[in-house]
Amino acid sequence: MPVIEVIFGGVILGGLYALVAMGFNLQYGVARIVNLAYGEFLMTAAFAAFWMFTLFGVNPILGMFLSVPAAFGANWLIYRVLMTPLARRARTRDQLEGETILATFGLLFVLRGAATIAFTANDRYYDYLGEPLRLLGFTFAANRVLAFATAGVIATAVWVVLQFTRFGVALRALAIDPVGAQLVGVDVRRLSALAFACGGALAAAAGTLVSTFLSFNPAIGIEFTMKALVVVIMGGIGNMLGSLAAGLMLGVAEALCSYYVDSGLTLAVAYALFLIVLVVRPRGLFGTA
Amino acid sequence: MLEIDGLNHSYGRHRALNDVAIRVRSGEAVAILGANGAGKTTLLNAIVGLIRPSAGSIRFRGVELVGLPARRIVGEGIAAVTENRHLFGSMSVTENLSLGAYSRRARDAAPDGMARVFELFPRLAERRGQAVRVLSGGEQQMVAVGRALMTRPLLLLLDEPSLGLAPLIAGELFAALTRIVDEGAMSILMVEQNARRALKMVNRAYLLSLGRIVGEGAAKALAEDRAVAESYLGL
Repeated sequence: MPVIEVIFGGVILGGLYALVAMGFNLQYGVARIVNLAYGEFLMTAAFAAFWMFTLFGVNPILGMFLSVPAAFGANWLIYRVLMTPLARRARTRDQLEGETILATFGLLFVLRGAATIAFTANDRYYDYLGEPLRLLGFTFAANRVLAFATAGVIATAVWVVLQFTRFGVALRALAIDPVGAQLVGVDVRRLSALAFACGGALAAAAGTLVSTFLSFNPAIGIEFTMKALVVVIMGGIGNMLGSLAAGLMLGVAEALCSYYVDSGLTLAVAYALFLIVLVVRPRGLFGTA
Repeated sequence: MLEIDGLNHSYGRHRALNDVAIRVRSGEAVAILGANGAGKTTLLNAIVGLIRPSAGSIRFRGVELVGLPARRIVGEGIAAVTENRHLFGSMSVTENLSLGAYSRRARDAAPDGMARVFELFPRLAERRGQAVRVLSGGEQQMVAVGRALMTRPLLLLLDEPSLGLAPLIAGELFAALTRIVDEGAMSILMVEQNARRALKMVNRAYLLSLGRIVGEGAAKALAEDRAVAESYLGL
């Protein structure tokens, strides 16, 4: 396999990491909640896609029109019910971060436990567009290409909303300076809840896409959460373009590692990359003073 | 227009505001003079809703503000330039100013407001695409004032607008503020260490000491008062 093909494979994986990280970044950067249960929503959406596909033959991409709004609603509710009391009593954003780590750590086990009981711990997969696709003279699995393209469309849409709409600009303002945001009339509670819900919706979209080309089980969530955390910190908290770049970097690094060294070492590569970035650029790739 | 009565606020055992009463009339510019730690910033933060005072009433055009969140107070027509400016550093000048027009009352007037801010502060027009954090302190203060003006306030609160600025740029800033005052379309309540400069601009001033109002008068009279001059003008 030529190196170009390996790199393309990494870009495909990286595009997905970028999407996963953008959702995490909305929750962390805007609502200031370190959601350790983030990956569980990804996992739940993967199962939802699996059941919809195997039981009813629903196309996973179309199924997203059901699972993504459902995840949005569920995450909005989680913010209102579980996170609002914490946000209300936290005196500083750092304190809120600490408390939400504990709360969502608990949520992680609840969701994972429930999924294990409901779906068993077995690996699942389904065959959707598994046939090879020739592209620019290289061969890829069609489902991976579709997943990448869909992730690209969604990530671009998120970026456009954040960059050019009133709502998006307010979300970015809230991520930068919540007091400043209040001074111009931004409703911090409401927008935090919406940002958290949007983050959950992106997790569901990513979970659906993952399920089309990887096998999964109720325990996969935490790995995606950790990777999202790594990508978000590498790219800069609240910085969506940073997440995109860092996600792609991670995907390519992992692909190169698994092809040339050992596929069991990909997580080690992720953390090595993370450490290097933290040492060289402590505020992230695009961070400033 | 703004009526503050019996305002008290404590941080633990420290009483930052003690039975403060202040009036600002429509179109009037009022200064609050006082040494560091007199309670000036606490007072402004209470008006704008960033802290909730322990007791007292703040009424603006008949609406009680105590207990309202900051975003509602913006909607009532009060804008603040706080001591640390709370700008959106990685965003451009234009984006910061547009965010000033976020509230419903300001939205439709955003294009006019932006033109007006650039007319008041031509420096900002030259730097409109730059990230705010790379601007000088004085330019950032202009963005902060501009963002506040974009909310279409009826009352503009300013916390030490010239603090830490080079004299030249502080002069530019005060010239713009004086123009706003002279137009009489909005009221101004400012806290300022540079009492001499402040008294030239405002109609009236209060003297705040250790959380209490200890004096009040027309700016002209205060500027000529020997006792005031000794305590507040550093003579």
